[in-house]
Amino acid sequence: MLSIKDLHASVNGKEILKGINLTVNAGEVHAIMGPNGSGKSTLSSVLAGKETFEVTSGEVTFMGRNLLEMSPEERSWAGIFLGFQYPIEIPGVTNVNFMKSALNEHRRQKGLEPISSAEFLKLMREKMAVVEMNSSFSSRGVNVGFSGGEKKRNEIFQMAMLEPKLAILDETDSGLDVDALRIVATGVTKLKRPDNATIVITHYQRLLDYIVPDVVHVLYNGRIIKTAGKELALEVEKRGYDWLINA
Amino acid sequence: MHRESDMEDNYIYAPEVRIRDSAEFRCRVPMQDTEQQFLVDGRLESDAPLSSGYVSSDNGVCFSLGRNEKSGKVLQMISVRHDSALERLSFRNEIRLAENSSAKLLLCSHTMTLDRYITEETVDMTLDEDASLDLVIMQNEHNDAVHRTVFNISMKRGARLNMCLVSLHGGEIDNKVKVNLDGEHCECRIGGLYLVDGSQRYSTDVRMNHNVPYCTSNQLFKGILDDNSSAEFSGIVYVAPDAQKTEAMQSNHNLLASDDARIDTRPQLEIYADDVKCSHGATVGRLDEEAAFYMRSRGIASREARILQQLAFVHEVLERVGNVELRERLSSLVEKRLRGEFSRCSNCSRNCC
Repeated sequence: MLSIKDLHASVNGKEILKGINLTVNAGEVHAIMGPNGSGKSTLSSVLAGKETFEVTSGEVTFMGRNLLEMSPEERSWAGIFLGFQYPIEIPGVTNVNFMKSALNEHRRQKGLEPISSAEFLKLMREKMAVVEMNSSFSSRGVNVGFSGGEKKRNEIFQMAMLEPKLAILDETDSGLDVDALRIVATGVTKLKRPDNATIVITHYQRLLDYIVPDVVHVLYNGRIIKTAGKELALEVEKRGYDWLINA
Repeated sequence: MHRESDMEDNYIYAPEVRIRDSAEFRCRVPMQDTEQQFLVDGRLESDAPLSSGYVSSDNGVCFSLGRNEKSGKVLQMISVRHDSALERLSFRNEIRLAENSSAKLLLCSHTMTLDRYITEETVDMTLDEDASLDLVIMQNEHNDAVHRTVFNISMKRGARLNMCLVSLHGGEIDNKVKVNLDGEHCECRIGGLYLVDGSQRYSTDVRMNHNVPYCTSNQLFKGILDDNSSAEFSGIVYVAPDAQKTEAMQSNHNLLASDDARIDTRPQLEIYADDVKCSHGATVGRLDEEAAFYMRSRGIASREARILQQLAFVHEVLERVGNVELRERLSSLVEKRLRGEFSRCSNCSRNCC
């Protein structure tokens, strides 16, 4: 599904990603862990197409297409979803209008008619239930005045609405209390299917108690320095990163 | 820098209607409970029957309500320029609300052909004790039209005004608003929205005189400027030496959608009383790139993301329009305008807006 080869990326002339190699297949859950400043968020932003990062070399193929040539919206239409570490507030744009615009654009790309209002509201209610979101959020401005937990739930709700092939969840667990973490993680698990894949970027093992990864990578200084099974996450939790960095 | 144009340069306002030959000239998509009057080149259209409250003259129209009269309907006055009179036109309209009366008014101005029109309009408004007025002004003309309006507003004790100026389109629009709060406990709210692109010019000059104590005023003007357009906002809140307990708020926010658009904004306070709450502020900003990326990452194309942000920006002003049906109509016209489409009411062939 996703193949990253020797990816280098920089911001303001400073190289952050220094040769990433990663392959993700349908049905898999990958976790990317690593200390602060290792390049985890940069990797997710580059995959989503954020223009502040410059890809200096390397290849990224998604479903057989050259991802690096695609605009952020084209990546979304192709099935990439980025769950933001810090979801953006958009005052004046209601959650309903935001999601309706997004969903209808996805439908248009597939040659489908815009969704009817009744169908849309039904779908929205159904998907809000996945993350136990109150329907009052639908008429509020996107993320405006939402608590940290509510913002993250809203991310997973959007993911449920758009049904991406590859979801990249950037520190979705940061700032969550135990209950919110459970709700968000359960939501992600419910959305899992044999034909989609997830990359979970996290600092901590605790999210991985709920979203069990098939593969765990440790990112350090712009490179993946270790790849192993889910037991790697537990080992990192116990021993930290130093033993890997100094290895 | 490559940039997609939203409010397009080639926006052309191209109506075909010929008013004088038409037996009936009315807005084809009227709102519920709305009574319409047409003012063609400053004269009340003779075919239309005069309702109570209107007094016609050769040079403008006077709308007045007597003591305790409450008008339930929205009174819509549609002022159009037509090629039967191409010379510079000046006229004066009057709105007089007697004690404890209330009215809802919608004033629209349009140009029916692409000729060059220069319109100078004076609107004198008097709100007597406890009178209440909801007023929406919609200006939707074309690139070669110049429209200058002076609003002289006088408010007596306990009067209430909620005014919203929506300047959708015009070559040069100039709105001067002068308010005298002459009686205690007046409440004056003025919202303004201006959308300019191409080489259009917009200016607004508000003078809010708090002449007596215990009045509140609230002004919110917002504008989106694209291409080479320019706008000016100048606002003075004056608080007289005895006008204690005044509460006055004034703000002007602008969104520059291009590198060449220009805004000059001058909010000013002139306060001679010491027990008052006054604030003013002005901002000039650009579209938020982070928010645009967020929307694009959800599949909303960049042009659509810009339009959604622009709509969100002006939403705050339109929210001030109390009549829900009218607010939705205005929102849809604003949206069409931002999309570079004709900002006309749907299902109408009359093309007046």
